[in-house]
Amino acid sequence: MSDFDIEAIRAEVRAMEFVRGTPAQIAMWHEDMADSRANLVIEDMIPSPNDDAFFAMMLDEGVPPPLLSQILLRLLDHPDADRSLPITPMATR
Amino acid sequence: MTREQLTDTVTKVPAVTLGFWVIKILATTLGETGGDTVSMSWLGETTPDAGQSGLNGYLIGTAIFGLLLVALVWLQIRARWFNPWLYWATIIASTTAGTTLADFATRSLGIGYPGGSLLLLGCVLASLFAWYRTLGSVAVDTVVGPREETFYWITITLSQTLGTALGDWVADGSLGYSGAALVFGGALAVVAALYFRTQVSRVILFWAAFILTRPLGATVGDFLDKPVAKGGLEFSRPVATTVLAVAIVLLILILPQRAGRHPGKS
Repeated sequence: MSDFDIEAIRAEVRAMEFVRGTPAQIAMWHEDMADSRANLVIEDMIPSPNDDAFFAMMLDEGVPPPLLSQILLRLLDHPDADRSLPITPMATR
Repeated sequence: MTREQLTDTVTKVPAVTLGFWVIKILATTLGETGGDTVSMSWLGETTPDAGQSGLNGYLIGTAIFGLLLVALVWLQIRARWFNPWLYWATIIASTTAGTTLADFATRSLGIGYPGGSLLLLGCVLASLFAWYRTLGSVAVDTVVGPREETFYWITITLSQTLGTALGDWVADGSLGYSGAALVFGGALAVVAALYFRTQVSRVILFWAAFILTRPLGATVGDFLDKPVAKGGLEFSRPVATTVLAVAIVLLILILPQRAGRHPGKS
């Protein structure tokens, strides 16, 4: 799979209208992600540096986890993705 | 990670935190007291009037909670985002239906706790087998599509039913309700210790804890509402159910509720 184009995705996310997380919420989401990442590693699912950079960028932009999930599905062009999201799938970039 | 593994990181189920387990135990306890409220207090099972109307209280209770469960699972599958109220309502419906269904299997069908437990264990294994044959995996971190979600909720409901029968079986012996609660609580403590101190698969530990919380809740629920002569505290079932429901609502309001992945391997 090709890498995430972090800055291009950041630009699309910044153009979206949604309720950004507060600094306290973002800090909490970072902690959750660290726990989740530790479990992934135990299960032999090792995030690449690009994966880590993608998730870190999304949280830094204040994207709530449910929306982050939908953006990820849209990027991957998953069948369950919300096609109304203004996000360009990676395959068509 | 691969594309598939990345997809697996999105889900409509809650993050597994300490708060998740506290609410899960309260929900299973509520399932026990709530199921008993309907089948025993309101429909007369375990009273001298049981069965005189020609209706089986456990079966009626199962039908009521089963319909509620189907409706909630349908809403959960249709939901686009993780919704803590919907998720926990569905869990409570599954645990309440599991209570009445287990009581129907073990008592009304006359196969007893060992027979009922074995039958329900067979149902859980059959569900997991069908899940595996259909989707090629029983990993629960991939709860994003309708088929995965359907299998997820069927397996959860059957495991809740099995947990009820197991809890009743253990509590029915010399241990009593409080002793059985200590046994299952101790088993959960072992699972927690394995989580924090070992590299044992999180998938196995998650499902072990998920299943063990059910008999723990069942025995605690029975401890609250069974007669003093049988080792319980004889609290009113409706009152115990209401108190537990209020506690769950408060915890959902107070504790952070956010989507997260259940442990799993794709």
